[in-house]
Amino acid sequence: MNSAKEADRQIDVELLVRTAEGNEAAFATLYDRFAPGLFFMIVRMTHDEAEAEDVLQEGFAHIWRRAASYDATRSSPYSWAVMILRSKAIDRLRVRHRLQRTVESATVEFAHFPEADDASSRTAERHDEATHVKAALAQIPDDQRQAVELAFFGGLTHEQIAEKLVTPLGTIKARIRRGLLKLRDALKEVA
Amino acid sequence: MIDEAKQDLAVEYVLGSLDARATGAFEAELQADAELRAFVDELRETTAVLAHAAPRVLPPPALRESILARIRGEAKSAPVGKPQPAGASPLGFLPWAIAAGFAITAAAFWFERTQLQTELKATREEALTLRTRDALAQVRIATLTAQNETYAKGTAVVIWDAAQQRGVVRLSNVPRAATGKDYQLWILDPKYPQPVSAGIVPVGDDGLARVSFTPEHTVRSADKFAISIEQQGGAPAPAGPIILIGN
Repeated sequence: MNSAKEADRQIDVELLVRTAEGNEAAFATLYDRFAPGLFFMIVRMTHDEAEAEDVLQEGFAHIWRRAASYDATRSSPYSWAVMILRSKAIDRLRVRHRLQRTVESATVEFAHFPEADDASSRTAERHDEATHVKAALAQIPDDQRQAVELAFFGGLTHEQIAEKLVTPLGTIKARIRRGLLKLRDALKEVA
Repeated sequence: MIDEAKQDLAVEYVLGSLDARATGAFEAELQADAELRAFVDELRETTAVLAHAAPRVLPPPALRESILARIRGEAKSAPVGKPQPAGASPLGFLPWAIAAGFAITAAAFWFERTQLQTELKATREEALTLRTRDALAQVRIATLTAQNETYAKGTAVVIWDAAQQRGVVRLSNVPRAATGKDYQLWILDPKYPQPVSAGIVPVGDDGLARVSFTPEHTVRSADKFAISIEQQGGAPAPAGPIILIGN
């Protein structure tokens, strides 16, 4: 890890330490550093700006409450925040998918309406980071990148991706695994 | 050496694709396997980096204030502790000037934001067009949202045909009503001082319900639909808590 990136991480760790102590200014600074990147990630996942705002609020409230549980030996603060926000967005997506299925199903039923029923009824460094990520992503074959992006941004399970791409589940699993491992290796090369 | 099947599981775990049971089983394995744990941590870092690939857009300034106001409300109950440091101790100082240097000007992202809004607008217009084309466009589709945490994962949809004064309600992921209680559907019409009952909605052990209904009185304007918890058999007017409501 280069020194600028490491210094950046140390700042984020320190901000989390202070956030865990109840320091509101530290939390606000952490928000200013993370929110722009995280916000668009969520918008891309939910395709709904208003819902993305709700998710961002829920996610940062979670960061405020759980800052003490952050373990710097296991991830960077930014990765930790990404996982929290992504998880919140996926919860929303799953409720929405269920809702869509319910609407579709209810609409079909309505067309066959029965008569009655039984019951009534961050930025230079971060800009560079983005450039590195894009360069790394460019090294991944299209089919693997597509599967990885559907899983990450679409919040789809492997089964749902297989169904969407009309591709065997085993193939999708292999594409995502190989895609992520290539991305990991590519990121090490471009770093 | 972590075999491919285990790597696939690790990928699904990191992406949040495993169900609750598989997640529990995998986490138990993680506890006992340092190599797997290191692999998962590496995958988690790699995956999180994907977020950098997305353009950066400033959230609305009001949202920042809203979040800060929310955490102020939680300040007294927030847990106090220190995150686990990684090797070297965290900095004993904080270069706030550096942090301030990271502040992003709204102008720098204005263009991206405008682009995004244009895309969102186009999507909404497309959805509206599709809806208009729908043969059932004249039929009202209401989605009800949860009013408390217990029902947060629940979904409810009401299809309502005002002309025919009939509808269908479908619930999913809603717990079965407690003994001696029933879920009851209501239609809120300003014409009446009280919501109009549309009957009981029995939910099975699978958390699903599907009921067709006709309201007790003629409904002129169905402003909202609501589901409350009432005494077994239903109530003439809502007396229990509303768990789902929407229009």
